[in-house]
Amino acid sequence: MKNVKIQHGIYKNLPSGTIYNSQAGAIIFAIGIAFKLTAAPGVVNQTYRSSTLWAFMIFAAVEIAITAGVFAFVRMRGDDLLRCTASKPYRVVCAVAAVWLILKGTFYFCYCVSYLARELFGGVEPSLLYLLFLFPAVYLGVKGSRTIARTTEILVPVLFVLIAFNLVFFDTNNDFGRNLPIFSMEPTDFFAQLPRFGLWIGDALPFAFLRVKNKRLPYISGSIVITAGIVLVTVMLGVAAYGNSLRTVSDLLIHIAGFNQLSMEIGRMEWTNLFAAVAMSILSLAFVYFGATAACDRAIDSRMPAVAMFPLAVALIVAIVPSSQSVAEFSTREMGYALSAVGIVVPFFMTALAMRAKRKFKGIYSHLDDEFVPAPLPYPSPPASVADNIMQGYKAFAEENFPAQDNGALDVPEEEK
Amino acid sequence: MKKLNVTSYALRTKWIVVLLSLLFLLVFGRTVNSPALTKTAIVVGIGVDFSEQDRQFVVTTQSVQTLSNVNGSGGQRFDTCTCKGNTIAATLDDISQKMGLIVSLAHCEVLFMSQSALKLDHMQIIYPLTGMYALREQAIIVTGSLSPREMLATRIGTTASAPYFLQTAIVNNEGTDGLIKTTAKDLLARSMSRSKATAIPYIVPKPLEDQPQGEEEELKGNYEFDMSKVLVFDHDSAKVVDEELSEILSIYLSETTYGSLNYTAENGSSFEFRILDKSVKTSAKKRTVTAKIELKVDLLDYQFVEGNDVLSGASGLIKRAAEELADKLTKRMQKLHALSLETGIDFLGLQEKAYQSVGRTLEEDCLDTIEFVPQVKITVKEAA
Repeated sequence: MKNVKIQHGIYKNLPSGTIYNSQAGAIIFAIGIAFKLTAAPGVVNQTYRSSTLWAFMIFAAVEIAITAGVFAFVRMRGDDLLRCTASKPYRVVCAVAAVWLILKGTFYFCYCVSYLARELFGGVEPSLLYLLFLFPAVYLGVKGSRTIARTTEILVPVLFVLIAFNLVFFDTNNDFGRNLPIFSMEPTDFFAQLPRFGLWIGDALPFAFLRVKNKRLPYISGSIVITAGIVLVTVMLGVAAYGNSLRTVSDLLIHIAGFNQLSMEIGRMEWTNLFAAVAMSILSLAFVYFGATAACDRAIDSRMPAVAMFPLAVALIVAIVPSSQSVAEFSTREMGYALSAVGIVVPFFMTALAMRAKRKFKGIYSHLDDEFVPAPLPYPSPPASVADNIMQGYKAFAEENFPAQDNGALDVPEEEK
Repeated sequence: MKKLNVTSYALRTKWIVVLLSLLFLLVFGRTVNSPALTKTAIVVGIGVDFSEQDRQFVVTTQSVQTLSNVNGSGGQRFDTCTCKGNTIAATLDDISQKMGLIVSLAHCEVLFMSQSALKLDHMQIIYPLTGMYALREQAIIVTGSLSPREMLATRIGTTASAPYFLQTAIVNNEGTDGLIKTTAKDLLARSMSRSKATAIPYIVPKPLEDQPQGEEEELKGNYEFDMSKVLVFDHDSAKVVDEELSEILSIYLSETTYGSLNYTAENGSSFEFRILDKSVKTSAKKRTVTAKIELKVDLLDYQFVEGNDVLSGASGLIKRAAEELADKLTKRMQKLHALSLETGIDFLGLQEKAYQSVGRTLEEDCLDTIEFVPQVKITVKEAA
C-alpha cells in the first residue's frame, strides 16, 4: 500500500496487524534491553560468576537464531498462509504459544516489578506497583500492534541516546580479567544450567503474528546487532566492574548509569537509565501481552481468554504470593527448562509448518495478498469522507451525477475536479 | 470528518494517556512518602562499628543541616549521631527517631568502618546500605586508629566535617602516599573474588600543633589526618602497611594516580618527580603473575646535587635517578609480596589473577604457590 503521510508525519494507512520494519527494530531494542539488561545479569551471575558474559553470548546466539526463525516465518507470510489454509497444527501451536506468552508475561511482570520496587519505589506497597504497571501494559496490549509500534518508535531513539550516553561516559575501576575463566564450573554443568534461564528466550515470538512492511534501510537486522552489542558490552562492563558481587546488583542498566563520570559534576545519573528501564519495561510487557492475545486469536478465534488471563494472573499473584521476587525466582528453577523448550521449539515448528504449507498450497501462497482485497460490492456507495472539505450539498450532487467505481471512489471527470 | 462513537472517542490514545498520567500522579502523590528537605537528615558520612562483646552494630552518622537566620544569613551545622542495634537497618531507624528526621544516605560519600566490622561479611554490611538506603556505590571506604564514631566527630582544621575533608583529599590525591580510593563496589568485588582481600586508607588523627585562630581566640580541638598508611585485610586478619610500602601499593591498586614521588640517593641528592601518567598491567601465566607498572614522570624539583648545571628530564643524572627509583619501587613491591605471604592476606590480588589463567582447577588458598614478578619502569618526560 502506498505510504501516505498525514499530519505530523505519522503513517496511518497500514493495514491492521502490519508494522514497519523500523517499528519492529524499535520493539526489538526495547524488549532486548528491558528484559535482558536489568536484573538478568545479576540473576545469571549467581550461577555463572566469571562465566556470566559467556553465558550471555550463548543466550544472544540462541535468541538471534530464534528471532531469525520468527522473521523467516513473517517474511514467508506464514501466519496468513496457515490461517487461510485452516492449519490445525498451527492452531495447536498457537494455543501453546498463547499459554507460554501469558506465563512469560506474568513472570516478566513480576520480574520488572521486583527490580523496580527495589530501585525506585522503596517502601511503597507492591500491589500499587502492580496496578501501575498493569494499566499501561494492558491498555497498549489490547489496543494492539499499531499503538505499541508507534509508541516504541517515538520513545526508543530517546532511550537509546540515554543508554549510549551512559555507556560512553562510564568510568570506574574495572578489571576485564574478571570475565575469565570462561568455564567457572564443569562444562557439562555450564550447559546443563543454561536452559534454566529460559525466561529470557524467545521474546521476539509475537512478531510471528504481525506483517512487516519494509522501509529502505535494514532496521531489523541493524537493531538486532545493536541490541546484542549493547547487551554484551554492558554485561562485560558489569562483570569487569563488579566481579562476583554482580549478584547484588538488582538492575545493571540503572547501576551502570551511576558510574557516569559526569555524575561527579552534575549529581546522580541513575535516573536517566531508570527512565529508560521503566518505559521499555512497560512497552515490552505490552508487546508480550499483545503476542498472547494474537496467539489466542489464532488458536480459538477469540482474543478474549488471553485478554482476561494476563491481568487475572497478575491479580491472583498479588492476592496469594507474598512477593513478586519469589515468582521471578520460580521462573528460573525447573519452570525455566519448560520455558526454554517452548521458546525454542515453537518458532521453529511454526516456520516448518509454514514451509510445508508453502510447498503444499502453492496456488494459495501465490495469491495470498488477494485474501486481503475486499470483494467489490454490487452497488458501491460513496464513502462518508467524500463530503469532507467540499461545499455542503455537493455530496448529494456527486452521488447523483458521478458513478461509483469498484473501490468506492466516485468517478469524477477531470473538468469537475 | 470521520464520525466516531462515544466509546471509540473515549478510547483514543491521548485521553487514555492523560487519564493514566493523572492516575499515576494521584496514586503516587497520595501514597509515596517523599519527605521535604527540611524533614531529611542529609548524611555526608557514616561509620559502622561492631561490638564483639555484645555482637551489636554501632552506627554513627554525620549529617549536614543548612541554617538560615531571620536576617537572611545562613550556615551549615554538622550533627553526629550514634545508635546501637542488632542490624544496621535497626540502628539507622533509631538514628532517624533520635534526630526526628528521615535518614538519607543518597549524598553520603564516605563510609568509615572499624576493623571489627571489616571481619564480618562485607556483602551483608554494604548491601543494605546501597540497596535500601541508596548509599552510592562510589562511596569511599576508610578505616583508622580511632573508632568510626570518634573519627566522624573529629574536627579538621580546614573544615568542620571529616567526611568532607576525606572525600576531597582522597579524590584529589588518589594513588600517592597511601591514598587508595576503594569504593563500596570495589570492596565487594575484591572481597568476593578468589583473593578475598583488599586495601583501604588507614587514617591516624593527630592533634594540630598550631591550632587555627578565631577572631578573638585560638580554636582548640582541631586535628589533622595522617593518611599515609594503608590497612590490608581479609575476613580473618588485617595488617597496617607503613608509609614506605603504602605508596607503591596505592599506585598498584588505584584507578588513577596523582601526586609526586621522592627519591633520595645514597649521596644525599634528593629528587622529586611528578607523576604524569601510569599504566599497571597485571597478567598471569598459570601460577606466575607479572605486574608491569609504567610511570611517566616529570622532574619537579632537585636538591643537594653537586655542580652548577641546570638539570632537566633529559639529563643523565635525572635518568639514572629515575632508574634507581624504579629499582627501589620494584624492591618495595617484592617486600609487599613477602608481607602478603607472611600474613596470608592476598591484597595484591594474585590468586584472582592466577584463577583467571589456571581456571576452576585452581585450589582455594594457594597464595604460597603463586610466583609474583613485579616490574617497575619510570620514564622521565617533560610536562607541557
